[in-house]
Amino acid sequence: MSHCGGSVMAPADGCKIDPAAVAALYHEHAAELGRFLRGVLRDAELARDVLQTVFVRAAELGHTVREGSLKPWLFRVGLNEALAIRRRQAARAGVMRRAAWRVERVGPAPDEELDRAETVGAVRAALEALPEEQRRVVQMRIYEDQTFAAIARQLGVPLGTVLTRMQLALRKLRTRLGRPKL
Amino acid sequence: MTQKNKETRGDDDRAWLALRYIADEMPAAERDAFEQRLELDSALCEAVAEAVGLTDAVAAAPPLATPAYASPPERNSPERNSPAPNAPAWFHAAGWMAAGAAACLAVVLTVRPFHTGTAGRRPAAGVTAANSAGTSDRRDIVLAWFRLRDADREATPETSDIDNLADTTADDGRDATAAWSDSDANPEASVPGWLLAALSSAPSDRNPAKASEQD
Repeated sequence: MSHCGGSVMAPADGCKIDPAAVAALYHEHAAELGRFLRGVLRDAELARDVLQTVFVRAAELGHTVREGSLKPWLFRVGLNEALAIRRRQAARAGVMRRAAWRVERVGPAPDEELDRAETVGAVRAALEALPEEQRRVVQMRIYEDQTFAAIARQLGVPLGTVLTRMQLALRKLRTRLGRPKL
Repeated sequence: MTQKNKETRGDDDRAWLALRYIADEMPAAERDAFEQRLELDSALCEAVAEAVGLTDAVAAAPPLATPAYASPPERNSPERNSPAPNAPAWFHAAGWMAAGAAACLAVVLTVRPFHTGTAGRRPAAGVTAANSAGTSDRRDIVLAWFRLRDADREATPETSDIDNLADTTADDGRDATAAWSDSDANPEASVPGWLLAALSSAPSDRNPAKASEQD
């Protein structure tokens, strides 16, 4: 797919990747790559900018990537771009330190809305299925944005207990929800 | 450990690392090492994306109603002894009812002794002391009468008799009038009217000496 002369390439375009192939790549990987970039950058707007940059690079250089390695390549390009931005920001205004989920999200695309509604119900059910002490830690960490250390202090339990509860909750949520499409 | 278990364990470990990374719960050195791993490990990149998606999903769902997150109360503090915050409503109601019943019982035990003298009931054992003021007044009256009688007859009654009389008045709850009425059968022990009146209204400020003068 990505080799010059491959079935999806456009030889007439100087062996660059076919725009349709780029669109297919985007459709297949953009959502996941966007979440990854938000995890690295903790900023939805910056993550979108980097995502666009990554696919521009894919259009320019995708043909040089070995077949089957395109997805890791996309993530690597995105990571390098994101880290470069973070370094520049850190040099300007201090290190960005916040949780990825606390970033104000850019409004979802229309097709994401449907997934979102379905996922919210599933998430509620998954949260309700958690033991109370695990659900409490999840909610304090994600809704209240408290650090694990602060949660441990507030609940009067060792930090290790809080981490274990969160870890167990994470495992159960992943099992129940798979990979949410939000 | 089977291959599948190893993979699951590896997935769980990656998911946990990814969650700590996106939650900014990693020390700087570990974070740098983690980001170096991200360049080489696409599965770890996917774990980060998954962690963001999962936490997004949880954050997007309305929070479930949970009890207030309070620090554990100190040992022996009132909070520690109070019902759990998530105790059912009937538990709180039962607590209030028990407190009300205890208060009523305390009122009854406090008030009852003041009624025993007129109602002719025997007071509770622990209540005798509460009635000691009235007993003391009656004893003074009786003593005064005996002094008067001794002066007439030159015969002193034994103290134990006086104590018995006072105790009878207090313990049996019988009116002193009734106690002395029993002795009416013996003309030798006839009781003057002023004493009966004084005892029936005791405790009072009536001075038996003055009353005797009136008699």
